[in-house]
Amino acid sequence: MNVTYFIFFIVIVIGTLVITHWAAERSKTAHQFYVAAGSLSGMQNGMAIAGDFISAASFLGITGLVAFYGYDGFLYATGFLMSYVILSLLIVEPIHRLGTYSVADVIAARFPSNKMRAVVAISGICISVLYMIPQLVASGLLIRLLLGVDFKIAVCVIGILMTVYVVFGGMLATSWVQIIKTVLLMGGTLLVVFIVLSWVEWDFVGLMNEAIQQSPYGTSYFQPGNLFKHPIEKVSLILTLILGTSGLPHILLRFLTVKNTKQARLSAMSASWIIGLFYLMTLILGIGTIALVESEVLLQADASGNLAALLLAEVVGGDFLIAFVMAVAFATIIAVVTGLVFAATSSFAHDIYFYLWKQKRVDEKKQLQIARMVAGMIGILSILISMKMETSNVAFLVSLTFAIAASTLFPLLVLTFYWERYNAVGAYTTIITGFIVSLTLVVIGSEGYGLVQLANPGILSIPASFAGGVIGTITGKKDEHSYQHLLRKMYSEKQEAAPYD
Amino acid sequence: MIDLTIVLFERISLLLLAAFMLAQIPGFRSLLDRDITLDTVIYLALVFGSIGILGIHIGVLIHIDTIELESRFTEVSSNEVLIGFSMVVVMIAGLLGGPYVGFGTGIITGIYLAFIGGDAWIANSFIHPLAGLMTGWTGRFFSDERVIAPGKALFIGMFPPILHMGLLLMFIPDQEKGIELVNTIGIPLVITNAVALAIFTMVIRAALNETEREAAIETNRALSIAEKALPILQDASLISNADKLAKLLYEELDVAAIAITDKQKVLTHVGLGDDHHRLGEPLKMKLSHKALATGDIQLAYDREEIRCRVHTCPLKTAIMIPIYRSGEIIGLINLYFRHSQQIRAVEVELAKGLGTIISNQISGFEAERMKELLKEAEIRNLQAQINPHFLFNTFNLLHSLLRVNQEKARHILIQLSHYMRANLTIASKSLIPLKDELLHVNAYVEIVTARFMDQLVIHKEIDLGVEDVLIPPATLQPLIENCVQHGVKDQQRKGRIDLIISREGEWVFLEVRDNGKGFSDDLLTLLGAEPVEPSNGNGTALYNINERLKGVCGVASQLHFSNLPVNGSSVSFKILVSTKERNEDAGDDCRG
Repeated sequence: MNVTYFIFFIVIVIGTLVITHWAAERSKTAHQFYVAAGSLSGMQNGMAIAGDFISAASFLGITGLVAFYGYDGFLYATGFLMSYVILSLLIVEPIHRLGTYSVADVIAARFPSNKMRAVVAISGICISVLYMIPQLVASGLLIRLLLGVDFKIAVCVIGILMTVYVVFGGMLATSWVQIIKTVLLMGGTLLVVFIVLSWVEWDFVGLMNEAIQQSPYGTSYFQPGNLFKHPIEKVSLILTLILGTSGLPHILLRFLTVKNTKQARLSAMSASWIIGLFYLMTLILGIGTIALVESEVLLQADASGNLAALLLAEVVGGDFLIAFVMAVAFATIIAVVTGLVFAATSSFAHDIYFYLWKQKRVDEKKQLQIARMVAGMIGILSILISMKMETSNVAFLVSLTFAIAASTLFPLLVLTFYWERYNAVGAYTTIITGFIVSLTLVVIGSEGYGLVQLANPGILSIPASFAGGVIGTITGKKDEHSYQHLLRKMYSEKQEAAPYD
Repeated sequence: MIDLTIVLFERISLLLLAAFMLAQIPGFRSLLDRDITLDTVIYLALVFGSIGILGIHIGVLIHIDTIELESRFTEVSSNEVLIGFSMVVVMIAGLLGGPYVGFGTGIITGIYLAFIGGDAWIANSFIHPLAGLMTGWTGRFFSDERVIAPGKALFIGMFPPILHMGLLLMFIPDQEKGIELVNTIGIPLVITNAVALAIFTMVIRAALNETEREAAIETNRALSIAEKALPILQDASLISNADKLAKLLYEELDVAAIAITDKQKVLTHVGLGDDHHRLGEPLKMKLSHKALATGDIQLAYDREEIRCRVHTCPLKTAIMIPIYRSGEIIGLINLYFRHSQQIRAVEVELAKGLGTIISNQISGFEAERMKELLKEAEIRNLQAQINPHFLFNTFNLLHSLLRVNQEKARHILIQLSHYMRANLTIASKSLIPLKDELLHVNAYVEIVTARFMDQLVIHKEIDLGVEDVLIPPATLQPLIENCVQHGVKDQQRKGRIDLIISREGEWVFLEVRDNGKGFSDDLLTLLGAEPVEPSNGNGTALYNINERLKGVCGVASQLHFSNLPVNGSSVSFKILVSTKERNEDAGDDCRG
């Protein structure tokens, strides 16, 4: 292992552990543990959301996709960005007003039965864990690729780190790890972008021409159709990406960590700015990669394109820059998986243990203790599962996660917030239809057994879950009070200062 | 790479040396205290800028073709790169003075670097203001301490050098050489800069904060002890709560043992040596007596002075803190340590502060209690002034006397007026001469004996020369009234009350006896210690008198209750003849 690489890794690990130590001293109450006592400002929270959201797959993967496929690769990125419009328009404010510690709190505000809470909590945990495992596996593969260490060791190191952050630091450590990751990622990417531009004497048009010349697609590099041959596939993917984000519990949870709805909207806005700028920079990086790195080298290193950014860094900056970019990628991985562990933990400890199992009859100390234990268990469990999945197709799991999120939690939230006639039966049918349809389609789709030529089931499963919700609502009995009840809860001034501390 | 790192560390230690010396100058420290206005920003930027230029000159030169070091330089030619340490200075300026000071320092050093030249002059000049801004902002973002924690500084200090490397990659004309250069100097520069920044902050923090922090910690500790001691001191005398207080102090302070004593003996001992330092032992140390006598803190530095008879006793040194109540020393708190080295100036100051705080608290509570009691007395007197029963009875008495014995009636009327006047005046004073109190008593006695003509005899035996002894007002009269009310009234035989005032040396003894039914046994233990259930009239009378006596004249003057062998009871107390001034001090405290 290269000394330079190693030093940078150590810096990231120590830096984040210091933050965790600092946060651990402040995570004494459940309120502090679950939502950092609402102490983050909108800007900080926006950075944390971006940190939660931009995975290593976006940083390294999108650069590679742009390098390989040009326009279509960038289209992928726009899907991620656009999802924030939906999120901040439809979801952020009600979530902030209704939620205390978890997404199930929000739904329980309208349908306060334990069964409903259980269903929402379980689907939340499913989504988080389903998303966490491919992230862990991918990061293990990545670390193996970058540092040459064994896959299992890589997964273990990342898994243990993420567990430590959550167990000791709670939401505060998670948030700060994510904020620092965002700063590093944005700063690092910007630096590499400038170096790339200086390499071509600040001539961006020249760089684009060079890219066209180097790309195997030639002039069609900047035109659609290189990655997605099928228009339906394209629409389905983008739809899933756009709507799926609003159904990811670890993103939704982040809106509970700010003081008021204004800050919550501000955080969604700053997050979308950061994410937007970031994807613009990956576009430049991708173009730079294809222009400056020889395409044989690119293909040889990793056919999926994950090493594109690193190869670019090697060309323009040598070992030092590679080490820095790797450290950024490492921080990125850690921040995302930490957020996921946290989401699964809060769902389990708050909804299942505190509400369903103990019927709220647990004191705060015990509650925190259990939350920490659950975090530890989820961490260990995901490490064990991920270690077994070295050779399996994790892209399958990612598309499954997004499909499930987009067709269960997202329709459930939208219908709960905005449809007066909606009732508990409808809520159950929404979740169940969405879950079954998306699962079936992924399994029989081209990522699964290949019975149907559809890799992304969103285009079918999302409408199906909405339809399921409507049918369920109509067959169920009318319940008009729940919506008025919800509105009252939402707009009667929520206490800004939390009563817990 | 390692060689280069070592060379850089050597160079940077020179800079740290300079920084350390600078931090010792008192003026430098006060520089950091000022509010950031435009002129301080410029001033600080100039100061840091000149240190930064020093930092540039202790740097090394690197030949870009051969990547070789040259350790001293006068000018930088076109294919050489200057690696200076001005960035550390700029970063520290940013961390200490904020982004603007950092920026200003960066501009100064940047301009200087531009004039020096060399291959990387654009990158070098550009990074400095940027580094100043960056560290300033990130420092503010991560911490609001006056001087940032070294750990955080280490973390923040990594990024400007990384950015510097990025800029070198951008601005060195020969890009291949640039990569080679960055690969060589990148890691050493990042490490040395970050570590230097951390050490720099550590030095400044140490210089700046040590005294402040220690004082703050000790203050905090003293305050927290004071706060926790509050409920302990509140509810009773030091004596009964000595144990609790000692335990509290033992937990809060880092000492080997704690002892609390009154003026004669040890009340409690907590901590090491409690196997042979027992309760109730008389004070052995000469220094203890000295502390009690002078009221100053005493330090025992060796075993000899502690005078412990057990040779294995682990307690070697001690601080003795006198405790006051209302200006009077009532005892000592002794802090024991294992080694004399453990007593630093800080401990002594803490002990002093602690003594003052605890004394003030005791006195404060005492004063509060006194105020309560005075208020009680006042109310009681108000009640007496308008006590309708007493007035009625006296008027009835006068009414009948006017027919049979006008002379007597006149006399009683005068006594009534004495009595009323005494009631009016006594409430406003905390001490009156005994003769005034006796006038009050006499007036009451005259009226009462006139009323119960055949049923009550009151004897007075009063030594000569006690008239001017000071006594809290309304102490004797209520005692006699108490005898009349509870002791004699419902008895079959003739009531007899004796008031005996005698002088023995420094003390005046006062006793009131009656031949009534006496105190019941269960009452005897309660009397004076707490208010008793009022069966008739004011049940708190005896308690209030007792508390006032203790408060104004000291514990020695408290009331003693006993039953006489045959019939009746006795209530007695004593007061000092001579210590008039002390009493007046106490009186002042009471009113305060």
